[in-house]
Amino acid sequence: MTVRRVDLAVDAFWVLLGLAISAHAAALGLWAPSGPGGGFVPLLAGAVIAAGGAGLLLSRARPAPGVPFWSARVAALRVLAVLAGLVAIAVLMPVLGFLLTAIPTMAFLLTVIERQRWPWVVGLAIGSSVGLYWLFDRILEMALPKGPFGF
Amino acid sequence: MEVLRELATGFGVILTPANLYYCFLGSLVGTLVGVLPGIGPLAALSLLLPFTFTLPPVPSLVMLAAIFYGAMYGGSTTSILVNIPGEAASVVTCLDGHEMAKQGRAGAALGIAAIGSFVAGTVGNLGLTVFSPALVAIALRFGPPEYFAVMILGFVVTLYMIGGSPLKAMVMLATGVFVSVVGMDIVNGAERFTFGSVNLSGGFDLVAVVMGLFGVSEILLNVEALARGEVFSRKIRGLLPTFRDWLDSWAAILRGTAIGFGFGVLPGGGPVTASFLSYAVERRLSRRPERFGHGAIEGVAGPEAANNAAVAGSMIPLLSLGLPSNAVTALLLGALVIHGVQPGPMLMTQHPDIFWGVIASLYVGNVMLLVLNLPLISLWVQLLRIPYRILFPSVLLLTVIGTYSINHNIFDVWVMIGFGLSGYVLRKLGYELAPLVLAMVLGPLLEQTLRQSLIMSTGNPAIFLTRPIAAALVLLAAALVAVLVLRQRRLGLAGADATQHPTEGSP
Amino acid sequence: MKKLVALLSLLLLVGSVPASADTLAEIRARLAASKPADYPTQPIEFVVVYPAGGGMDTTARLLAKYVEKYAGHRVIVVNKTGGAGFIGHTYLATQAKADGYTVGILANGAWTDAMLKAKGKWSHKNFEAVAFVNYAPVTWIASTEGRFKDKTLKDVVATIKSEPGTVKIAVVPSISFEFLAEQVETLAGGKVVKVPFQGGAPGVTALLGGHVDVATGFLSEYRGHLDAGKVKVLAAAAEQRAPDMPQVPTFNETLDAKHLVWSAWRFAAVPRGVPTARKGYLEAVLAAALRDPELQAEYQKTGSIVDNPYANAAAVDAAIEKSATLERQFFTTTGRLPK
Repeated sequence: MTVRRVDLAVDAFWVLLGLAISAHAAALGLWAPSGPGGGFVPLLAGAVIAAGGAGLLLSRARPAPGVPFWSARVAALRVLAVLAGLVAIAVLMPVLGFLLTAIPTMAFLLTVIERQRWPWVVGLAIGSSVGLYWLFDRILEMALPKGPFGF
Repeated sequence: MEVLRELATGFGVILTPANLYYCFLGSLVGTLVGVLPGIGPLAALSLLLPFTFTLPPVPSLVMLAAIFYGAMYGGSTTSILVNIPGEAASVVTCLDGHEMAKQGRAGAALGIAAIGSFVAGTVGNLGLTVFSPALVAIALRFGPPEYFAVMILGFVVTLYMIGGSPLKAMVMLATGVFVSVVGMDIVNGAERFTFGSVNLSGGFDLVAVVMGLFGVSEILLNVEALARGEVFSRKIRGLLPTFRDWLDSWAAILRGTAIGFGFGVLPGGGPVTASFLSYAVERRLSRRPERFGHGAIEGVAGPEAANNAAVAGSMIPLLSLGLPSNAVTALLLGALVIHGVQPGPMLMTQHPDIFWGVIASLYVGNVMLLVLNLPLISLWVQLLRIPYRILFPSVLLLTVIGTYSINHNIFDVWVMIGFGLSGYVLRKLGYELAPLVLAMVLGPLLEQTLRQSLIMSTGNPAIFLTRPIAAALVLLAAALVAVLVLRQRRLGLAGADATQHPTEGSP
Repeated sequence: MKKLVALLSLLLLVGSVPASADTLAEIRARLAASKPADYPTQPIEFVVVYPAGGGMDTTARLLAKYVEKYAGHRVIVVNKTGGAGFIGHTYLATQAKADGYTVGILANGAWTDAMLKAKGKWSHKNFEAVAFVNYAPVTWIASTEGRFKDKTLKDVVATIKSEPGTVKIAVVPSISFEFLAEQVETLAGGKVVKVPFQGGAPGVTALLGGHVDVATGFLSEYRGHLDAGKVKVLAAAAEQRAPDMPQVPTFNETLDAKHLVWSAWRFAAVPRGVPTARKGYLEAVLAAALRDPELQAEYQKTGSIVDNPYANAAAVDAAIEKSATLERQFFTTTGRLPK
């Protein structure tokens, strides 16, 4: 996976996205009795996106071939790990509540870049999660999601 | 002058131990909450509003105004230190502020942000004190066609801030407009691009999008780039701006103040639009524009001044007309009403102690915030010493909390993740993300005022040219566009950066 | 047995005569005695579906303050905004737990959304009312320096008829503001230019600047200007004239109609299925708070009317049903809903 290929893929994506937006916008009505309808602005936006994507596809200026998208495999894995952590939070937080989701996720994230000694990791994960919970839910009264145990 | 005498009574009201205490408390809490990413003045005020119920009107309003200002001061801190905006009005501060931090000049950046904010806040308050009646009269003459013309002008000016590939910038602008369209059509109430989803019917929240595009993507980029055991080399070179920094910044601060104050009086956008405009103006006027995006201090001074001056400006329609120009002043309006104070033309005569007391508190609050923030700089800078591998999980959780706190709806967190992943890919490919945010803020305003104007004129577009103020602004915008197009012709269309080797570039 | 006693004392409490003679301590004691066991163990959430600082939010926060005063435990106000209230309404109707910890502070938008937007997934019957809070009628105002500065509503209607398409009225689309203007158009026999704004206040500002001829809004949105003599109220979409504004006619009397009644009608409701004891407790606590003369004064200062003609929560439910039916008729007649 090189930068060049991703760049091309994104350019193609713009074209498709722009066309899809414009098509849907046309259905919203372009002109109402007195002025532009709901579809006018999205149609323009979609057209510009598609045109921009097409222009980029056709342009000569492009990243050099052969430059990999990720400098090392481990870099890609780290990014994926963080994303996985985020998705885990989004999926689990409504079910388990903030605290029960944050502690394991945080422990996991603390080891993403570099392995640490696990008592230290667990301690820090618990400490920061509880600290954040206390700050937001108790002091600022922001109502963080609660899990099945009431916290 | 009578105004000075009334202001003096205002100071008499504020300079009591109790009121000073609440002013200080609001400034402190506002700053601390504003520092948290994604939690801007609106969230800070919503959280702390209930605490003011037990207080009489003057202290509670003083405290709320101080929280507002404090949050604006605090928002620039995360932008500079970790490249994650404290709120939408601090997005622009990330561009050069964080670059300065990477060069070891975080102290200077934080300092100039604080001092620029102070100058802007104070000068803005002076404008508020002296020019309120005149400005209100002018503001009333702005109807939808005039607002449209102003937004067009602002939009054209911000085009100057875009470097790099014009095609990519164009796509970013159009995408920003599209993102803002999703949800309910404010003109006719119909749903657009929601595909039956209840959550999408509210549209994409600006904070969730900003947290994703700038917050999550930043973390992803950093996590990728850090080799094992590496610590960001953040030598700290001096805690305050140097004399050279002052020379570079003073004009930017003054211009930012003027821009911010003007845009604060107009509804919609306010501090966000003002900060973008200021950045664009500074870049345009600079003799060495290539420094922007690489740690130009004017790129921090101007926008930070602009967003604080916008706060002062937005007080004018709030206090004189009872018209809130953005969500934060709408909340202040609610607070006023809860305390039985009706803003509007009668506020000055019915409750002069409240009116002038609050205005005097803005001066005092600004001084307090400056005194608070300068020493805090050394504290914040210490945070940079924490190894990123330990810091980033907490920052990530903070962005999640900040995003979730908008609506207590997990959907916003998904939006953040989606935009985070997209932002990460786009930044690696050399796209600038700030134009997307700008378009997201300005787009709906442009569309709404355009359609309102055409409804008013029953479809006749001449309305923009028959009304004098609107016509003048539209022609000015057209002239600026012509200049911009001619300049671009000379530079070539695909832009100079296409062969740039993509790294974790700034947005 | 304990539950039965609690329920009985609750019923007595709710049905009791307005207790102006009772002291705060007495009311508090009564409420505490009638609390169901093990409830509440955490703060109660008042959910507001509109942004912080708006009229609805202010109403809810004031109510929360007084409920805390009488019940003695925490009430937190949470804003679940988006889609002009639709997201919050859907959440309350379909997702919120019916355990007595979530109370929606709602307005008539709840049943309008149910009819126009919910597409059958939920209806206003998913809510059970626990209290009527207050209401504020929709009004039309004119500037004292503009086109209609010396005119009455009758004159405005005559102008609409004689010069159709020239009278500009500020409205907010898809809510009562727009519906009222449509009804007037039908009765007047001419079209008006409905200029859309995001709320009443921007419309009032546009009126002051002379960009529209008439603005639609609630008293709370222009009270300051009214006191300063910059605007005057043309008419109110209420069933009777308001006692503190006796010179303002109603739309119905001027246009000789019965159906021009629109207001922000605010009530508190819980998702259907809350256990009877808890629901009864909530009703009692809210009733006590709403009878507080200070709270009533605060609501009146914002232009809302606090007269409560409903004896209990069931009566509030019945009133909602009646209003919803009338609105449904309007929607089918105007083609917004299929017949």
